Amino acid sequence: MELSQNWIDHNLVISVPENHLSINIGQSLKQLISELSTHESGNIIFDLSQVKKIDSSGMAGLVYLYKWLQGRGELRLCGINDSIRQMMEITRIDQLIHQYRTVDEALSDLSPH
Amino acid sequence: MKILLVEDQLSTSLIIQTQLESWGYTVVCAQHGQEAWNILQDAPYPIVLTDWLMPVMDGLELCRKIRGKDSSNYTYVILGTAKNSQEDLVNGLEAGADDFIPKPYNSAELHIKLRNAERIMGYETMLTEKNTQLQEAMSLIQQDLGQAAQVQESLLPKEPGSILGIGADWLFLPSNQVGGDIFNIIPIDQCHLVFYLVDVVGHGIGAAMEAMSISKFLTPKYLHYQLASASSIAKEMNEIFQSTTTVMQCFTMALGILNTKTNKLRMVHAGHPPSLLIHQDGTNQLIEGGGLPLGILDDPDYDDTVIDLEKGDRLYLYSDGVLECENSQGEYYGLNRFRQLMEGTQDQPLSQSLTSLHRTVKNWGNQESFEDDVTVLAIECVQDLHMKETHGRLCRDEEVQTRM
Repeated sequence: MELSQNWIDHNLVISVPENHLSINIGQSLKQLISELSTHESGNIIFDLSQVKKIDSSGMAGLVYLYKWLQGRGELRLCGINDSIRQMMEITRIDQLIHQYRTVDEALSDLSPH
Repeated sequence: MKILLVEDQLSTSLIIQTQLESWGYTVVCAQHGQEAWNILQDAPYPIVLTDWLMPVMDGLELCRKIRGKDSSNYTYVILGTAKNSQEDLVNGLEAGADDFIPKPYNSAELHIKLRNAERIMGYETMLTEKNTQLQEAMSLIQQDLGQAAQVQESLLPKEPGSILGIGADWLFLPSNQVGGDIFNIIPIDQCHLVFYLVDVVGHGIGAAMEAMSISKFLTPKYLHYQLASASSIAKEMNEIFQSTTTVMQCFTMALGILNTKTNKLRMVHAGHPPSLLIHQDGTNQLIEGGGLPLGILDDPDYDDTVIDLEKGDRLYLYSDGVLECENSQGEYYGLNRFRQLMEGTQDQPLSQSLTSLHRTVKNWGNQESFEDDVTVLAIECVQDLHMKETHGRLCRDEEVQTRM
């Protein structure tokens, strides 16, 4: 899966061009992490507004990214629908990763680097 | 290389045969299509060089018969023709000819066309060999997978039935031969049952191996010392089964510790969908609580949910494959339908409830196999608490509580 990446200052906005986020995200995330390893720090905003459904594999991918980012920056999600929100509640990931309505909202209260 | 030469004019046949043999080919001659066809029944020929117009069976018909035959050996057909119209060529191609050569044959042209044929047949042979190798490798993998599936199956509970006065049954439909779901129901002592359902994220061999090592970890001996708290089992497992930077492997789990004397149930849900509890009267509740999937974060929080079960209560632990089973419109089967079905079948025997569920999700998905493993573990309080108490003495955790 091709994740579209867009740097806004020190924040990386990633949008997922798929309507089903599943095990298919694993490889893309590994690649993303190896690319980001050279950057010193930065936050990641994951824009899920094109994603309709997410399963536990997709969820695990996001948590994995969250864990990797610890100490480097923050992971934020935006554009999530009810089905994804429900999945996040079941897995308790909603308490771990902050969610925003839009990319702008997610960016607005990030402290500038 | 062997060539089958089909030519009705004897003199022409002789000239061509001599020419072909001088190039090193082994030549067998037939006078018309039918004779050639008979010869081909006995042995395959890689190349057939055939005239078009012949008595009994013409070259076009021979070509059709060769293509119509179900054979593992490809036959390269060169159709010799005095006909050169577009329509004739189309007919020849349609019949399955690989190449054409105008008559009378020009020796240099024929030689080139035969070398082309040899080259293509070389690829053909290579492809067949590779295919055989692939098939052999594939069947070896299938065999290994079959064995792995047997090992995995051996870790599951054997027969549905009653354990310590608790009824147990399950539905286990792995999406592949081996899967990432594993469950068990384990009597620990005379009055404690531990049951769990683990769903390793992902499918296939990696997930199956993880599932098996988790199952091997949860032994009666280990669990015997863990009866006081379900969440501390989850915490310990989280530590032991941590993902590494190279392997992203995490899993969700619902685990319950049931005191079968008091019917007190302790449960933990680690990133797992809430278990469904249906009471005898058909009312129901979801047992939530718990925390994140296991194996990702260093020190997540987990909590026990404590519930008193009553006679006739049924508890369903299930993997998200049940809820995420999709119909042709891409709609999930979902918690509400699952809940309603189990509510509606509460008055049927447990095995029938599960059979209904099996039928329903299968019809919902409308295909033979499921995209994700579909697993449901059901337990049922068949006896009255009152009846049980008359059977025996108090069990360990009450003793502990009494002393406290």
